Amino acid sequence: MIYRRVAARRLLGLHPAVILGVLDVIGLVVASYLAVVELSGGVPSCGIISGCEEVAKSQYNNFLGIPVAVFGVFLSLVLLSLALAWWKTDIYGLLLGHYALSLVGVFFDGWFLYLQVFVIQAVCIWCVTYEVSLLLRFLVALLVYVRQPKPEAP
Amino acid sequence: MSDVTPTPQTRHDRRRLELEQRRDQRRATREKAQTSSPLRSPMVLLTGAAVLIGLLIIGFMFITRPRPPSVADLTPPNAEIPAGAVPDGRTLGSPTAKVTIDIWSDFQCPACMDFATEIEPATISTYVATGKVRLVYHDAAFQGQKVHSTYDESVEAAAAARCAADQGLFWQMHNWLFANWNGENEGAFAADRLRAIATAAGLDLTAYDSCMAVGDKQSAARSETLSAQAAGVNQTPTLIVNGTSITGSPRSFAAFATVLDQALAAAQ
Repeated sequence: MIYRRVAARRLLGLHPAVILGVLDVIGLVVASYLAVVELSGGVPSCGIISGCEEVAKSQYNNFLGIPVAVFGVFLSLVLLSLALAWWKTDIYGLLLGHYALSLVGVFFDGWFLYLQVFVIQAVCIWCVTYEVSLLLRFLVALLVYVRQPKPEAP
Repeated sequence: MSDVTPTPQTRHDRRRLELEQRRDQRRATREKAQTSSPLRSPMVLLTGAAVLIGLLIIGFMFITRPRPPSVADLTPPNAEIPAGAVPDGRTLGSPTAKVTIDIWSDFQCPACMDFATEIEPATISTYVATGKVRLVYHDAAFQGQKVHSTYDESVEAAAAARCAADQGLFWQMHNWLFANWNGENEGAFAADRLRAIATAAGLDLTAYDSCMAVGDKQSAARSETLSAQAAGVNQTPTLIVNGTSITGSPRSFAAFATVLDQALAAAQ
C-alpha cells in the first residue's frame, strides 16, 4: 500500500512536497551554518540576542562527541530527499516517511529545547529557528496526510 | 452428496439455523474489523515506531548526558605567568606601563575563557612582561545569575580568585580557573572543585578556606559586578584599553596586537 502512487492534493495551490521542501531547505541552511561554525571552533553570532554563545559552548551541545547541528544537517538532507522524491513520484510511503522522520526529529529537538531552557538556561535563536522549522515540517506532513486521499488496499 | 441445506422442518431446526446465521454474521463482522483495524494502518505503525525511536533517543541522551566534572579531573593551564610580568593583587605588569587594559570578565563566560586561554597569554608575554601594558582584572560575574540558585558559580569563582589574590596568586588561580572552565552553571566551579583548583594553583588551603567562609570576597565580587552594570559593561569580556572599550573577545592575538600598538603609539 505504501508503494502505491496517489496524486497529491494541492495545498495553497502547490504540491505539498514543495512546502515541505522549502521548510527542509530552511532547516538545512540553519543547521549547516551552525555545524560549519561549531566544527571550525567558532561560536554562532546571535546579533543583539544573547544565548548562542552559551549554547554553542555548552557540553550539552555535543552528542556522541559530535555537535548536534551536524545531526540536524543529516536529518534535513534526508527529509529534503524524501520531499523531492515524493514530489516527483507521488509514492504515498515517501510522505509517510517524511512525517515519521520529522516526528523523531521533534522528539530530539524537544529534548534539546528542554536543555536550553532548563539546564543551560540560555536559548540560541538559530537552534529555535531550526526547532520551529522541524515542528512545522511535522505538522504540515500530518496535515497533508489527513487531507491526502488514501491508496486503496490491493 | 448435496451441499444444499435442507429446509428446516421443525421448530428446533429453524432455531438452530438462526443461531448459526447469527454466529456467522458475528464472525464476519469480527474479521472485517480486524482487517480494517486502525492498528494495521501504516500511519499508526509509523507513528508508533517514530514515537518509540524518539523516546529511545531521548532516553539514550539522558543516560549519556554530561555529568559535572569530577574534582580529580583538572586540566593545567596552557601558559605560565612570565617572570617579567609582575603581579600585584588583581593587576599584572608595571604600574608605569603606557597602556592599561581593564578586563571585565566572568570565570564562567565562554568568550572570557577564549580570551584568557587564547589571546591573553601572548598579550602577557609580548606586552605585559616587557613593561608596555598593564592588566587590571575586574569582576563582571553575571553568568551565575541565570540560575536561581543559592550557589552562584560565577561569584564563588570570583571570590576564590580574590582569595588567591590575598596570597599573591591571583593570576595563577585565574589561569587554573579558565583552564578548568566546563560549561556554565554546570558544576565546574562547585565548592569542592574550586577547592581542588585552589590546591592545584598552589594556594594555602587553610587560608583559602577561611577566606571563602567569611563571605566578604563574594560580597565584593557582587558589588563590583553591580558597578560594571552601572558603568555600562553588559557583555563579557569587556576590554577597556586606555579608556577605549572593546566588547567581546578579539578575533585573534594579531587583531588585538594592532589595537595595543595603536594605543601605545597614541600614548607616546
